[in-house]
Amino acid sequence: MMSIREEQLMAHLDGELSVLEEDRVARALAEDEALRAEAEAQRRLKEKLARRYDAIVEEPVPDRLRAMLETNVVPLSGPRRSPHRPGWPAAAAIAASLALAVVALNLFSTRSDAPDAREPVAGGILAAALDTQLASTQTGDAPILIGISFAARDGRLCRTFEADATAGLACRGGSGWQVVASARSAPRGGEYRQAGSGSASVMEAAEKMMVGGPFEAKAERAARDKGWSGR
Amino acid sequence: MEAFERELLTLLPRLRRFARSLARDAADADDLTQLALERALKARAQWQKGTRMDSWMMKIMRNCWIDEVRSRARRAAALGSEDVRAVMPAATASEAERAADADAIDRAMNALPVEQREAVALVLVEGLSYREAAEMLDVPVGTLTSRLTRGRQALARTLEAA
Repeated sequence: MMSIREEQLMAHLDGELSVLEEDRVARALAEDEALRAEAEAQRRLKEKLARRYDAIVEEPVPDRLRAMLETNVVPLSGPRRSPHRPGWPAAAAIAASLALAVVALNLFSTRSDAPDAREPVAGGILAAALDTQLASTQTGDAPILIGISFAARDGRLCRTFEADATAGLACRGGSGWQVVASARSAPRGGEYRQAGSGSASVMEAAEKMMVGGPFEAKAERAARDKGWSGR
Repeated sequence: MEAFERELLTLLPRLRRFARSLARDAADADDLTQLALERALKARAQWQKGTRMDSWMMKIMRNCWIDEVRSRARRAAALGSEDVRAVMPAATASEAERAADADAIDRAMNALPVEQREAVALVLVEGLSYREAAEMLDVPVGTLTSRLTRGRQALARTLEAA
């Protein structure tokens, strides 16, 4: 039998032993050939794991992940900047993260508790904007602009939104914001972005679902503070 | 760009590595990274400047992964299987025999029970100390070392089988 425990051998390989324990392990290794063989096998394993996973660090980071960090910055004033990619237009970044917001949550769209798996669930900056942004206080240079908020016939609370070339309508369900309608809208010029103009088809969809008209600023804030929980 | 995003951006390659050692495959790993980033951006107020963002992010990512593993287990249970590992591809000796390459390592990692796998990922892949890893997993150091030992013995057996 080995005179030391397996854990001690491993801790020896990981440099986690005290001097006294090191001494015991060294003596056990000197006496026990099987133990030496195991230590050698474990050393090879450590190297293999390091080689395999360090290769990941060298890989280029996918744009969709990079874009999450480069577009999530909403400056309070002034033009949007992406210092890491001077040539990367903000519009493309937003479009990318919007697409991302809609498609990348496929992890969730197949969840069995999703009310309707066909409706994509918003994620990323879109979900954040729908959760927190108020039409009454948003700045014109925000990446997502909120249009109107309202209660739908089915009891859910819904909001229209616009990003650079996309207008959409999302309703808050149990699994997050479900994008129930979306359409391409005319791209807005940087200086002339206005909330609420929306594309006609999205507004039409909103009007069909709406009961009691769009929320005033006070009702919008109250709905947000209650987490868009609806009826 | 704010300091928060900048620091996260520099961490991204390492976060992808950690995700790769936890998730089933490359696509799942990047989905996991995305999920962790989303959670971090939402919870940014909880991060304290001057503290280590890498540990904070790894903890978030590990929690995201555990959530996903559990919901996958629930789905599997609903389908009549109660073993989390049953929904993961199993490693076989013959696969490992082909080559001790990335693919074989991935399969061997996939075959580990969740608790052993995260211990291996934190200590052997990310290089955390036993104490750091135990704190992150919220278990005593003794528990961590025994999971780590069993995990790496299983890996060595699978990968050395030739």
